[in-house]
Amino acid sequence: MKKIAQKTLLSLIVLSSVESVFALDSGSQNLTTVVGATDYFKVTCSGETDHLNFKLLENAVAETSVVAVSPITTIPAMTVIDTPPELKPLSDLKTVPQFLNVTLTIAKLSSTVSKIAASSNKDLSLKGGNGSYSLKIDTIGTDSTLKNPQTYSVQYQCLNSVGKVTTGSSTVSGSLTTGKTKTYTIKCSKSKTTGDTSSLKLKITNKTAITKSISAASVIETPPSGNLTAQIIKGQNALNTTGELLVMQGGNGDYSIMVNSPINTARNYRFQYSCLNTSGIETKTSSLQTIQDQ
Amino acid sequence: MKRFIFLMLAGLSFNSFAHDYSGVLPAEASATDFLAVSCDADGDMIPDKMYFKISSSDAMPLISAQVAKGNFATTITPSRGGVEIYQGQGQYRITVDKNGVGIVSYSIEYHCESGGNHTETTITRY
Repeated sequence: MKKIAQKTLLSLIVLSSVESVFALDSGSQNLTTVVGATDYFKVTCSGETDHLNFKLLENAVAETSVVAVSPITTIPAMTVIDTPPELKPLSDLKTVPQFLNVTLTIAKLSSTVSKIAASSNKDLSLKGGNGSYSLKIDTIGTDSTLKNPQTYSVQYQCLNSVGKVTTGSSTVSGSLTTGKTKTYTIKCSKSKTTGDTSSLKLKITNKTAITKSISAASVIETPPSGNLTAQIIKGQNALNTTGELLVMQGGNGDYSIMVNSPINTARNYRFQYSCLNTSGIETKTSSLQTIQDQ
Repeated sequence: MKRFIFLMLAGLSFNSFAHDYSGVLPAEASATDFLAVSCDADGDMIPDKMYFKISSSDAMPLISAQVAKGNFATTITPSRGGVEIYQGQGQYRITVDKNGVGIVSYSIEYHCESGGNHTETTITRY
């Protein structure tokens, strides 16, 4: 019973994290057969946006199957399928491997903890006495296609031989893009009340949201049917798509998106969008504003 | 001679009422023509609508146009015929696109009206 409750709790955690991601970067709608039916949306990009990526997914995986999108970065290659597949349980969704590695070093001593997965934490300690410890965080081994930065926090304490805090207890937090490394220096010294430092203890929390992707087996590649088209307008430029990834290079500002059917057919559809800078890293992407829902 | 001049003037007059635009979308599926029709007041006549029609002699891929103004947007296909869009004075944004790969030529007819009378109509191709 306890195990079932734990699994349920875990599922809820996973579900809520995926849903929050879903709401940020994608939308789903139904286009009716009203004559001239056009759904009309607005997305606002800010920060240092270079372009908006947009992909129309006609009748793709049913919404309740919790399709997953990387919260940031380039839109993953998704496919259009004409009939919704069976709903897949969460266990059938493939976890995207994204994690952090942390190494603590002082003099010739070092200690490493690897693969701190998204939404998890690990402890690390090193007995190096007083002095400057080097804390290095990297992403080696993480799926290199995932460009979204991982966020983390590191709580640290300098402790004496009986576990009492000496000096230098605090928390650092930050974010790290795949392929990058960050290094911090933590200085532990003697305390007037608790004496010399014996060790440095860390608790590293990877605060990145867990992302899930559809397992390869559940996706069938088919070309766009042409039953739906979508247009993006920004300034004096407009582009059209039937399902191919659109890249609209329009900088910061409002992007208008229209979805319609040239054969006036009712369709369920989804779309994914992301405001990105010149390096393909997500900038500030507003939530989707529905201007007209037909 | 008078008759010839009259016919010429009649022709010019007709052309000034019927606004037409023709274009060709290149092969790629993303090809989009982006136009704007400005409906402006003509003296006391304030436009209340824009008439719009799109046609194509090419059967495939299917061509369509989206007309947007303010918080309103509609899709117009050749089979819809002429459509009256009651969105008043101002600029109507028009995208012309298709649902697949292939070269398509099209023509559109548009004009701004106020109670059935034509008003100032200007088209811009971006």
